[in-house]
Amino acid sequence: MKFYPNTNRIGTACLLAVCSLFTGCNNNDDEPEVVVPGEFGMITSVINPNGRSRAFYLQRVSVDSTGMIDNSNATELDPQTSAMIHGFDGSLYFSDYRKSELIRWDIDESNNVTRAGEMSFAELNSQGNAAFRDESTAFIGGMSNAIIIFNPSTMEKTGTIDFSAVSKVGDPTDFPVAGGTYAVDAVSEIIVRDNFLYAALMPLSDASSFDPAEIGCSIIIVDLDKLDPNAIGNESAVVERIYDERGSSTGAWGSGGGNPFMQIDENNDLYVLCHNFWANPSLRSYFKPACILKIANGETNFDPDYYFDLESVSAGNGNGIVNFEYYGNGKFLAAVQDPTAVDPDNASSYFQDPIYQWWSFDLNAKSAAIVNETYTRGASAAVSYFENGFGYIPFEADGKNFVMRVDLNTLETKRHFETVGLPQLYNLSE
Amino acid sequence: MAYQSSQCNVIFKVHDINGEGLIGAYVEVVGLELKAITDINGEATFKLDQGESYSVMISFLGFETINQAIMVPYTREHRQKIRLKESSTELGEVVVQGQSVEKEVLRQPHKAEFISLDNIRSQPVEVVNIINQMPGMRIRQNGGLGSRIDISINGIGGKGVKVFVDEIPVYLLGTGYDINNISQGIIDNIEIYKGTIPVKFGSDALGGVINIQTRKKGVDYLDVSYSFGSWNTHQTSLSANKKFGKSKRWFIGVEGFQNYSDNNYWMDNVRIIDEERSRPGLPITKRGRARRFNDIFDSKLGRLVLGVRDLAWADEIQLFSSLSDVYKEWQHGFVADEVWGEPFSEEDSWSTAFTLKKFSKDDQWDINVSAGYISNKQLFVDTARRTYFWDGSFIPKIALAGESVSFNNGTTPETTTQTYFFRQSTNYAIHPKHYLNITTLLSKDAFSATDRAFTADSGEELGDPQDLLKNYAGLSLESKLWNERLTNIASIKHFYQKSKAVANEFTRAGSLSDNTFSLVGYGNVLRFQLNPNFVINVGYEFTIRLADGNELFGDYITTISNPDLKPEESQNINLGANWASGNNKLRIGASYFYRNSSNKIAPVGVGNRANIQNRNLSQVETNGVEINAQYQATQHLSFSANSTYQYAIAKDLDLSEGFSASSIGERIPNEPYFFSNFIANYTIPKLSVIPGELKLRYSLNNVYSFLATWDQGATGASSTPTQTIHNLSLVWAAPKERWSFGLEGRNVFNTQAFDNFNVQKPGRGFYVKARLFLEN
Repeated sequence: MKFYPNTNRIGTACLLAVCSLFTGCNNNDDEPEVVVPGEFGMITSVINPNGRSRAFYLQRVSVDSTGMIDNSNATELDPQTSAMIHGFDGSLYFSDYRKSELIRWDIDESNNVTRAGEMSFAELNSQGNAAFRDESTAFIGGMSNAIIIFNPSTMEKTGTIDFSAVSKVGDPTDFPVAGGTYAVDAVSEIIVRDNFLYAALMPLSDASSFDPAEIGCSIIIVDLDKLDPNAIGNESAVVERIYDERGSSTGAWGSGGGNPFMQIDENNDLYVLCHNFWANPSLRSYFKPACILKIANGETNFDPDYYFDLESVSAGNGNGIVNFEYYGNGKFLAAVQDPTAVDPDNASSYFQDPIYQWWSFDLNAKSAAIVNETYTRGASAAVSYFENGFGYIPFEADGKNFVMRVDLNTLETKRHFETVGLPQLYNLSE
Repeated sequence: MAYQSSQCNVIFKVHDINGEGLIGAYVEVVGLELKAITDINGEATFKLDQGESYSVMISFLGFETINQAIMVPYTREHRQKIRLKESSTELGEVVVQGQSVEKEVLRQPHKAEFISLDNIRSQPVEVVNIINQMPGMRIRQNGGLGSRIDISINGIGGKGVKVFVDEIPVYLLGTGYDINNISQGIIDNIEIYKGTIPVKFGSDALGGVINIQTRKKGVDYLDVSYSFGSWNTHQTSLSANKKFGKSKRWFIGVEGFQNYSDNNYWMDNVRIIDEERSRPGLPITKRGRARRFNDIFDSKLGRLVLGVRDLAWADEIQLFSSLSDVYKEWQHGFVADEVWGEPFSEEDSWSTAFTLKKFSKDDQWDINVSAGYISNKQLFVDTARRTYFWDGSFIPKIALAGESVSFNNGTTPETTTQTYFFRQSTNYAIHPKHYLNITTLLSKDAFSATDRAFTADSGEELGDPQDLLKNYAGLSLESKLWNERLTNIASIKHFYQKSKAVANEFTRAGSLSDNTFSLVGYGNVLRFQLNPNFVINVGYEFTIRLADGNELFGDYITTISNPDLKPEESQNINLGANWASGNNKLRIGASYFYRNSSNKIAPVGVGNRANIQNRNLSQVETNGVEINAQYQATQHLSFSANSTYQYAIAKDLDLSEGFSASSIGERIPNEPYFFSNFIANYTIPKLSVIPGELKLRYSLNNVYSFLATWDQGATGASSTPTQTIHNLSLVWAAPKERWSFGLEGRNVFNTQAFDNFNVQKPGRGFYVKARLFLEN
C-alpha cells in the first residue's frame, strides 16, 4: 500500500469540488443542504512562567464551534520544551527534539486522550519532522548520518538508513566564509512519494548559531524498493544527494509546530519550500529569496524549469515565509513576514514576534493574495485544518489566540473562535 | 564626708564575649533588695553609695552566672562593664546560644528570623536544609549537594533574595560562599530578613536578605569536623582562631572546607538502554531506574584572616583573603530527559578584603568600613562526541561535539569577572532615642571572555570588557519612643547602575550597549510592644533589584547577554504579631505578607535553541500568611512548627513574549504555595555510660502538591505531588562539646522528592559526622 502524506489537503480539495458541484445542483432545490460538520484535534499551548517550556492541551473540537474554547475539556499532555506534532491515522505524534522523544497520543470519539507509547531518538541529537508511510513504517532524521525507521503502530524502532556515503560532514565549505567545514548534515524534513523517500537536509557549519554550510537546497533520495525496514544500515537504498542553489535548505526544528515544508499536489508533483532561513537578518545577505522548487512527478531531481519566487509576489523583498499549508488545486497558505515590522532592537524578532500575515499562494499561476491583514506569530501559529471549502487557520498575537475561518474561494475571513493558548489543528480522520 | 554619703548611678552594661549587649539579663546586688533586668541596651542601673563595695550577681539563660565585686567610685555616674561567658550546658533547641545576637535581630521592627548554629554544628546537616525549615522560606534544589538552588522568601525568589556573609554580598566574595556550597562549620549564625531590608546591607534585594555571620574571632578556638555519608559525600571543615602578641590584641584565623559528593543517587523512571531489544546501531530505550553518573560536585574554600583589636583609631581591623575552587559535573539539561554524560564546569575565585570597625567611646557613633577585590573565572567544557543514556551507556556521535547543544564544539569562552567594592556603614545617635544609619556600597564589575568558541567575527567584541557599575546609598532613622515600646525605622535608598554590555544578535556577539538607571526605594517599619508578652510588627518597603552581571552579560554557557534589562521593583508589606507566655515557654507568631513585584526578570528560551536570555517578563502579586510556634515543654524537650500559605498570581505578563492573556490573573504555577515544618529536639543531659549529653532531633518538611503549569482545568494536569520528608539526627557531645559524633538520616522513608518538575532529588541518605572543638 502506498501512502501519500498530507492527503487531507488533497481530500479536502476533492471534497470542496464535490461540494461545489452539489451546491450547484441544489440551487433550485427546496431541500436545504446538509453538511455534517467535521471534527479536528486541537492542541493549544501556553508558555509557562519560566519562559522556557510550554504546556500543551489536546481536545476534539467541532468545526462549527464558535465563541471561546478553553482547555477545560482538554487533556494536558506532557510539558515540553519544543514540539513538532504530526497527525497520522487518527493519532497525534508529539515530537520534542530537546528531549529527543516522540510520544503518541490517541484521542477517541468521546474526547478521551490516551498516552499510547513513546520512543527516544537520542541518537539523532535533535530530530526533525517525521514522515509516515503506512501503519507500520515511518521515518525520522536529525543531526546524524542515519535516518531511523520506526513502526508508528507499535512505537518500535525497526531499522536505519545510513547515508554516510553521500554525507558531507567534515568536508570543507566556503560558505558563508572560507575555511569552514560541514559540521552536520541535519535531516530536517522527510516526505515519501511513490517508492522514493526525499530527506531534506539543513547542513550546518555551526549548530550553535545555525550557520548554514551551503547556500542551496540538498535532498537525499532513498529508493524504498531497496529498503528493508527491519535492517540496520540500508546503505544500498540511498540513491543520491541532489542540490539546487536557487533556494535555501528546507525544514526546521519546531518552526511551524511540525508543519511540513514539502508537499505533493494532485499531479504527484513534489514542491519544496525554501524558507530562506526565516529571513534571519544576519544571514539575509547570503541568500536568495524564499521560493518554491519542484521535483516533478516521476523525477528524482529538481525541475530546472520551475521556480516560484514567493517574496516578490507577497510582501516584497526580504520577507521570510514559513508554513506550507497545501489546500488543493495548486494552492497553499503560508505565513509571510512583514520585513518592515521586524524590531531592529530585538535579535530574535524576525522569528518570534507577531510580524507575519497569512497569504494564499498559487503554485501554478505563481501568484499570491493576502488572506488577512492581522499579524500573527508565523513560526509558531501553524497547522491549519481544511474542510468543506473553508480553511481554519491559527493566530497568535499580543496574548490573544484565535482561529480564523477562511473561505478558500473568496479568501473572505471571519474570526471563528478564540482559544486559551496557541492553537494547532489536526485532521483526525486520516 | 559629704562625698561618702552621696550616691552614684552605677550602670551595669552586661555583654557577651563579642561585646554585644545582653537584653533581659538578671542583675542583683547581693545582700540588698536591688534587682533589675537589663534593658534594650543591655544595661541595668542602681543607685549605690559612693566608696562602698558591693557584690553583684549576674545571670542569663545560656550564659554562666557570675558574682562580681565592685567598688563604687566618688562620681555621680559610673559605668561598669560585665562580660558573660556562654554556658555549654543549657542548650535546649536550635536557637539557644548567642541569645543576645538573636534578640538583637528579633527585636528589630524588620520581619526577621534568626538561626544559631551552635547547637546543630555537630550534626551533618547542610546549611540549605537548616534555612529551609524556617517559616516563609522555601529553598528549591535541582539535585544533590552543590546543585543549583532557588531561595524564595515569602513568595519572592530567584535573585530577588540576596545572600550576605558578614554583611558583605556573597557575589563580592566568591563562589565558595554560595549558600549551596558554604560549610556550616564556619558559620556562627544566620539572619533572615523578609520583605523589608535593613539599610545596613546596602542591598538591592527584592524579597529579602540572608546574612551569614561567620565565627567571631574574640576567643581562641579550634573547630574541626569531618562528615561522610550517602552518595560518597565527604565534608571537611576547619575553623580556628588564635590571639597573639603581648596584649593578645592580634589574632589570626583560618577557615576552610571541602564539600565533595558523587551525587550518584537513584533516579526513577528515566530512560535506560533496553539490552534485549537494542541492536548495534539502533539503541532502544525503556523506562527504568538508574544512578546519576555525571554529577560530581567538589568545592573547596580556604580563608585566612589577620586582625587586630583595640587600636587607638580602630576597634577592630581585619584583612581577609580567600581562595575557592568549584568543580561541578552537569548531569542533565533543563529537564532530566536531557541526560548528559561528560560536561563539567570549573569556577575559581580569589578575593581579598579588609574591614575596619570603630566605636566611639560614648557609644554615640560607630563605623564599619570594608573594601575588597575579587576575581572569578568560569569555564564550561562539553566536548564529548557521544550521546549518553541514563544507565551511563553511550553511542558515538558523528556530528557535533558536545551534548548540551548550547554552543560550538562544546567549549565555552573562559569568562573572567573582576570586581572591586567599597562599603561603609555608619551609625550615629543624633539623640538618645534616635539613631541614623548611613550605608553606601560601590562596586564595579569588569566582565571579559576569551574567544574559545564563538565565530571569528565575534572574537573582537568578546575581548572588549563589559562593565557594570553599581552604587547604593541608604539612610535610615531609628526612633525608640514611649519608653522604647515603639521602635520605628524609616529608610530611603538610592540605587544607581551604569552598564556597558554586549547586545547579542541571536548567538553572535554584537556591539556594546550602554544603559543607566537611577532609582529610589523607601520604606518604614515599626515594632510596638503592647505588653511584655505581645508585640506587633508593621512594615512597608518599595524595593528595587538591579539586574546583575550574569543577567546583563550572560555566562556564555547557556545565557546570552541582554543589556536592556530594566530593574525589578516590588511593593512589600508585612503585618505580624508575636505572643509569648509569661514563662516564655510558649511562643506563637503570625504574619501576613503582601508582595507586588513588577518587571520580574526570568530566562526565556531564545528561538528554539538551548540558549536562554533574561528578560523582564511579568508582574506578580502575592498575598500570604505564615504562622509559627515554639514550645519548651521541659528544659530538655522543645518543639517548633511553622506553616506558610501564599497565593501568587500573575498580575501582568509580557504578551509579546508569547504568554497567553488568559494566564493573567492565574496562580503562578510551579511554585510551592503551602508548606510546613515541624521540629522536635530532645536532650538527655547526662548519660550513665559516658560523660556528655545526647541530642535527638526530628524534623518534618511538608510541601503540598502544586501545579507545574497554569491552571487550565484540564484533565491530567501536570503537578508536583505532595511531599513529606522526615529527617532524624542523633548527636553525642562530650562536656563542653569538645568532642561530638553525629548521625543523621535524611528522607528516612525514602519519599520520592521533586523540587522542579521531573528533576528528582536524593532519596534516603545517612550521614555521620565527627567534630573536635577546643576553646580557650
